[in-house]
Amino acid sequence: MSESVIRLSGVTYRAGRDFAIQNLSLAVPRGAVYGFLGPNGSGKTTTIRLLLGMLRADAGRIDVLGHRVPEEIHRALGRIGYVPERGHLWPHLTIEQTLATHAAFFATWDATRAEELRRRFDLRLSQRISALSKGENGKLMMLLALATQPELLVLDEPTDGLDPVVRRDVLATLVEYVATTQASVLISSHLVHEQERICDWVGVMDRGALIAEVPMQEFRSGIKRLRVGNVPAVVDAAPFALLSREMGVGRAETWVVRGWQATHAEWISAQGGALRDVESLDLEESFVELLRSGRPTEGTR
Amino acid sequence: MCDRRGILTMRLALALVVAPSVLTAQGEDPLGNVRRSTTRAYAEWREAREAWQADSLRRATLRVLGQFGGATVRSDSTSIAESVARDLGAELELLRDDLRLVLGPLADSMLARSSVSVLYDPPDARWYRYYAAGASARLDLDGSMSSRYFSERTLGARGRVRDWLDAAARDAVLKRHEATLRRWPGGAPSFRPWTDEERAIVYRGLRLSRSPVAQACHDGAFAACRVALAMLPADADTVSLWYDPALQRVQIAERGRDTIAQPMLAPLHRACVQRGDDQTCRDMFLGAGVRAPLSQLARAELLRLALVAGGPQAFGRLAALDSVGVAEALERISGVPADSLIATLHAQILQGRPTSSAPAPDDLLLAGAWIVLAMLAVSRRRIAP
Amino acid sequence: MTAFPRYRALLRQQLILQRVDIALLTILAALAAPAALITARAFDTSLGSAERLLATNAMLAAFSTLHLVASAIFLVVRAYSADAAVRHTYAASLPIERGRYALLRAATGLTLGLLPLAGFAIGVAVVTAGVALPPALYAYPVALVCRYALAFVVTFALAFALQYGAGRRASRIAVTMILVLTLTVVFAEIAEQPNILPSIGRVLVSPWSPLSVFAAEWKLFDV
Repeated sequence: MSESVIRLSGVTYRAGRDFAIQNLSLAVPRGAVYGFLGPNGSGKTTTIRLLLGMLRADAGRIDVLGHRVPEEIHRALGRIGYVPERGHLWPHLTIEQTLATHAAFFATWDATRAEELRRRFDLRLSQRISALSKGENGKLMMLLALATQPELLVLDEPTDGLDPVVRRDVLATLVEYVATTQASVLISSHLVHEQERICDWVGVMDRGALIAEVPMQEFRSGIKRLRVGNVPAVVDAAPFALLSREMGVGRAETWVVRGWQATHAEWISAQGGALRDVESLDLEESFVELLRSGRPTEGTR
Repeated sequence: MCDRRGILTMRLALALVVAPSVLTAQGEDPLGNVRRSTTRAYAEWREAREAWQADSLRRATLRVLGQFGGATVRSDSTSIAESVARDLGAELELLRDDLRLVLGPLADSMLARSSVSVLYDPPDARWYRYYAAGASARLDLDGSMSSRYFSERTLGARGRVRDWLDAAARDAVLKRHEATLRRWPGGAPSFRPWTDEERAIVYRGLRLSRSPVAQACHDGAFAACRVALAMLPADADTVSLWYDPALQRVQIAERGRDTIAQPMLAPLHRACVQRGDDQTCRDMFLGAGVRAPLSQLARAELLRLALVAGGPQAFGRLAALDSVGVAEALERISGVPADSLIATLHAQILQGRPTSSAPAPDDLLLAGAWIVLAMLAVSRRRIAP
Repeated sequence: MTAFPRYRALLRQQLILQRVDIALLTILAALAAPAALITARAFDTSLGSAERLLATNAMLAAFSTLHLVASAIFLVVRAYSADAAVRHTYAASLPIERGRYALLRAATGLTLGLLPLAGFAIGVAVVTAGVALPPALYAYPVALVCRYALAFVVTFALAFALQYGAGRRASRIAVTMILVLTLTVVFAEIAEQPNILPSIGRVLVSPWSPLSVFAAEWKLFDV
């Protein structure tokens, strides 16, 4: 595996009585666009704040760009472009003043690039931050992140709440930057279809735990919906992961499986079952099935 | 007895009584003070005596805590009464040493005829207010009686205890040696050295006085200091020596605003300021109050210095004085030249010069240390979003 | 990166945030000395001019100490609140150690505090120049301004340490302390019990205390 720009090992964090990150381990390869998927409240933002040193983990180890977090995170932050979930800029400043402040702290600030992005995003220098719309704020945060020429971009729901036009502009700018600089990206979102287009790795988080971390291609192709007749009595030894089963007519069932390969049809036949259909799921359906498989159904323990 | 010596003494005493009686401004009348403090002390004595008589049975049961400075100290057996009694006892020990310096052997005999009783005052609870427990201290200092109440809230204020004892001692000495001390314009001597605050008050008073005599005294002209201390012949016009008619007129003119508040003064004001009537100016000047260049504090301190310098028998020599000038009286009491005493007083007054309010190097160092500590504490703290 | 561009950036940010507040504080500071002089002259008219000017000292001490304490606390709390309003996210995302960021904030706050200090100095200078001093009474404007400056810096440092050390809890701690003190004093007055406030005051301005700078005489005029 190539070197990781972000590595979390056994990270545990508790916030209050009801929420915790439990024994989380993930790695973002260098040069990858890592999609961080999960429903609302799954711990994505908390994980991002942990790896940026804004929160202190109770246990485990975090390394970002080769620096230990939180002890040395300030050394890495100069090479990271961060877009938080909510606006974090000082509301009383104008865009021009915000750019000047940001430039003062980042040695790699590219004023030409910043101006170019400002024009592209149609942001006026005299606009006050407090007066920006959600879309303008989103664009400005992306501008600030990209104008520092970062090696690593950490984006927390960067397009959340943006209209389709703005979302497209922001993502296009991001993709263009990544294509030209080979920067690494960690982008968290619950908008699965958006991640599908740009990410080459995916990590799925649910209830404070990472339930899947695979290349995007594998994730997309690995989850199938099967229609099986004469369902075998025992399926524990199946060479694939059975995510869910739904009763059909007679002894037929609909299975959602992960890790499916064509050769696995022989195993079903060997067990006396009849494989009637194999259906590919899109990323969103795969994501939903993955989450459902990880949660106990109602009325069961 | 109408012998010559007695007549001269009476005349001198009368002259000394009359001369300072013109100094009526703002507590600067030493004999007035003597009279007022005597009257006050007498009223307290009567009140204390009546209370004592009413409590005679109780006094019989008070515990004797011991002899402090020669005075017997008794108290109720409650913690607050005993605490007040011990504070008083400790201060009486200090007072005894100061009295010895000033009065010589008279101090011990004075305290031997003294006693202190501290009675417990129980708390008084009412529906709207709760009075804490306290203690009443009754002081019989050589027949001069006074009382003071100490509540639990005022315990620990030792300075106030000492102030009370000092005032009581002055009253007692005045009563016992009234004839002697009436000769001295400062009244009773002080019994302890000046505090820093008193020194500063005297210094400021001297510097801010409009009298040219005050400035000259400050600058070291001891002859001017004599005038400022009213060390003058009995027939001297003290007020004019302090403030000449021209200066009196200037000050009356400056007080012009007062005539607006008191319209009946307007004709007098015009007579003085516009028509130059010196006598009217003097009358107005005296009526508004004359401030002595050196206050009663200074005169009391000068007498103390003389008595201390003169040793244990100095007060006896004061009592035995016949009619002599004040300066000569001081020399006979102390055995040193009057100017030497004045020089000592002058040096003490100059020590009262206020210090600059600019931060000293020590202040800067201390502040710097605290600032560094504060910044270190902050620099190590993570600011968690 | 060197510290100066960062300091300048934060200074500009804080100045923009607090320009109205600082203007107000500066004007109030400039008015402290004239107000004290006017108030003192309203006293007993039978006092001589020297006494009136000395009475100014007490008024000026009250005005100036209140003002500098309020200024210091205000500068600290407003700057912190601006960061706290966005949960310190922006500050935490900057490539600078947290401790250094806090020290930069302290530096910018102290720098902005120079403005009310200058206002105070101007007010004192105007009063000193405009007053006809009687003989033997002098004005000590430089000493007074120096004391004001030292007191401001110490108060600012303490307030800053409390705010940035305790974070969100700082205001709760301060309010709790004030509430406890107030209730204690009120109870002591009602019940005629020993009042602890003078004892606390003595400790706070004792010679080794950081607040000992307030214990000295604050005087513009003296002999």
